[in-house]
Amino acid sequence: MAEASQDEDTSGPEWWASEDFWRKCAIFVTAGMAFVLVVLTYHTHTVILAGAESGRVPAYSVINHRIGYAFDDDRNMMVPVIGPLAPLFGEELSEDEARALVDHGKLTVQARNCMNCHTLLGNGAYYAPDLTKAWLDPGWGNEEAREFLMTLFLKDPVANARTYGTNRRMPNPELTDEEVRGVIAYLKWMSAIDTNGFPSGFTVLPQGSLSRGTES
Amino acid sequence: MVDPVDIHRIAGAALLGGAIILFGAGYAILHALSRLSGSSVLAGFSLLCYAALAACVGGLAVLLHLWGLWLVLVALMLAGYFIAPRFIWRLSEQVHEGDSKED
Amino acid sequence: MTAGRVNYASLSAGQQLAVKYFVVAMALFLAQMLFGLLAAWQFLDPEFLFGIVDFNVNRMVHINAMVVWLLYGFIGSIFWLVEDEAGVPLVGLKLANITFWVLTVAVAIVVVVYLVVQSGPGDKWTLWFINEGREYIEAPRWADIGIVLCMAAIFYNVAGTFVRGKWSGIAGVLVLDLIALAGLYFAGMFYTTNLPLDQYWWWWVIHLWVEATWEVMVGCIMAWGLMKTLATPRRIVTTWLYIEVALMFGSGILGLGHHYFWIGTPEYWLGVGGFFSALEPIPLVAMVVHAVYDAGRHSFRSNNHPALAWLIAHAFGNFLGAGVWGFMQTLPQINLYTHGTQWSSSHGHLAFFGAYVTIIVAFIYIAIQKLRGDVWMSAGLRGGWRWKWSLALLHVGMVGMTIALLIAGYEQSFVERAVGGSTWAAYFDGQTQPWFVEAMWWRMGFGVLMTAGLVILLVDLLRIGAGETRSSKSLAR
Repeated sequence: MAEASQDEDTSGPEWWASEDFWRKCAIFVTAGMAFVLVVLTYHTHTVILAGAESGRVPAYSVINHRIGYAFDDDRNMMVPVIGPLAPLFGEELSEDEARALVDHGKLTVQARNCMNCHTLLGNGAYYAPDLTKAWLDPGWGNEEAREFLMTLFLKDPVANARTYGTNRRMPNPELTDEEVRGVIAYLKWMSAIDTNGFPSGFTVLPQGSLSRGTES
Repeated sequence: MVDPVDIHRIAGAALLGGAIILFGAGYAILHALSRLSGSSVLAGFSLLCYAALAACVGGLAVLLHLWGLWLVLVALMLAGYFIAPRFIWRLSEQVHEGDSKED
Repeated sequence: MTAGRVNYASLSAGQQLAVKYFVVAMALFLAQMLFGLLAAWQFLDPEFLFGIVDFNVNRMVHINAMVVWLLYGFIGSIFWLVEDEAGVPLVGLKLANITFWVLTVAVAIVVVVYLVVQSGPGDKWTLWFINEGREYIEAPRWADIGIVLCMAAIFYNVAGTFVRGKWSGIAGVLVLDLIALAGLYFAGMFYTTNLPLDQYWWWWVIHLWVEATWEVMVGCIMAWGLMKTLATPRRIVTTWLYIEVALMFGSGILGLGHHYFWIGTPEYWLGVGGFFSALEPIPLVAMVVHAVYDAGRHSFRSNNHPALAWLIAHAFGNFLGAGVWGFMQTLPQINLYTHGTQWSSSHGHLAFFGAYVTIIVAFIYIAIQKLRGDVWMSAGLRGGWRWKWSLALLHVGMVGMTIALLIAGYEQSFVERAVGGSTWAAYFDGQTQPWFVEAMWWRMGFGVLMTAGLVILLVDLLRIGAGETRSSKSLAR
């Protein structure tokens, strides 16, 4: 950087076109933007912790409840709705138990490399459907059949394939019973994340009332 | 905060978005060439490109419902695409000041 | 030194190392292409290799090979220029060579495990030793740690060489950029149950690598290249490098926000991401002016036509892929429908190719010229059809593929996302529309064209300048 002042004595560029000015610009712009990003990151972090007050990312025990997805006029987008108790597999879990189950599901989804066919929250590959609202998909028929059908499918997706005319079948990931339960819990929890209205216009499968009634 | 595009205007909005960048580049290239050659015809064409860009920005604002705070973005795009190429040209001239001596 | 003969000994130690990096990079480029073809074919015939090498495996190897070969290209380019720029030999040649072999063996092991073991039980062990299951950074944790250690060794060599020799503006930017590059990788090296948190930090690695630190690394390599090949004064290239850093980081760092629209993060990201994404193309467009200025003022003659052609391709590719294809779908009002469709795939293909593949191929041509004893690489070059045909086939293939994917992407956005509301039935409805199916066939065809182009490119890189006795220096006089 010693040569910065080399041709100061000749008719060098104006200050606003000088090497020195732009070096400072580069440093300050980068530092400034990085600072803003760090501040936003800190704030976002506190907001998206599972179970944080914002409600954007629900606590893991949300899997004890019925979950809906409906249009919110104030926010002009679809948002998840947490309904009354409807425990997954009929068994109400504590927050710690629920977290452990969802965690097992997420580990399984990573370990079986699901993201290189499916998308999660819209990120991943485009060979298979998005899983953001898989729990709510009308393809499961209705609320009563859902857990049974999901388990059946995940245990043997080749035999139970429904390819809707594409011939694209899901290979058998050979999940253990516990992994299947984990994956379903993970999908149920995922469907309750507030994703700013993505996907829009989604139709939820037929299920019971979302009114919490006198419960809370 | 966000009012999404009408689903029948997705293609239109995408094409307008692409056109903004293409006209932006057209404006920039023609502006630079007009400065290089001193041709006022090229300068006229560059402004024509900019006018097309501005029209596309307007169209995009309508299709994507860029009202309220989003208008700031529209204004910034109009200003930014207009000024940036001119600024870079002057910057090029200034940075290369004394270049011939060093060659 | 005889023009036309491969003269490995005439290269500096750093440049010899660079050649090794380039060789691996090109081998991985070929692998990327082949696994891309397999995955593309599976769209057309889902039974192909079903249960043997499934789509997710092919696709993972396809994108990982790309990330790694581009990195190899960057590292090679840096080793090529570092001694020249610093004016002294590498501080740790032995370490640099060991690093190369360790990194290459590690990459090979990771790929073999991907292909043979593929996946494991749902626990941390799998994430540590088989596959982390996160797109682009699937490499298991042991490999992450190895990569960081190798990057540290490379950093030591680059920074240490500048410390021992002389510093320059390029050196300063390069060293800081390497720190950022390695540092950002840590953001992807942890596990959390919380998916939004997971994806938040995941994008730090992907976006801030690709749209910030990689761009600046290209800027450093270009700055040095312009100085060497066109004898542009150092003061000018350095000033422009700073200008680029200010513009790239100014718009690119917070442009990260366009990945935070729909992953559970707060609504203000719709504004931040939309705002900076709309500004991101402005520097891209403005830089066109600088190119015209330079071309007009200098009427320079290039003594390396293939490299110059690839550099021109870089200018257009970056502008089209990142600029036009990006801005079509980046604002949240439209991204709500295009997010997670073939549209992203279309944009991704053209942007990666235009911004990075082109520049690395250009640099390799510059390196080959030196390797072949400053051989003539201008008009009337023996076997000159090869570089022209490979350039043409690769570009026609890429642009055709991108347009096919764009059509598929639009169709998917409309049928599945907008009309169908993104249910699974809507997804498959979109995938079976004639426009979509047709587009997948066209994509396959253009992919084959690209592969043909790549094969010719590889032959050309091995053969260009062979049998040519004129020296490139003769042009300078």
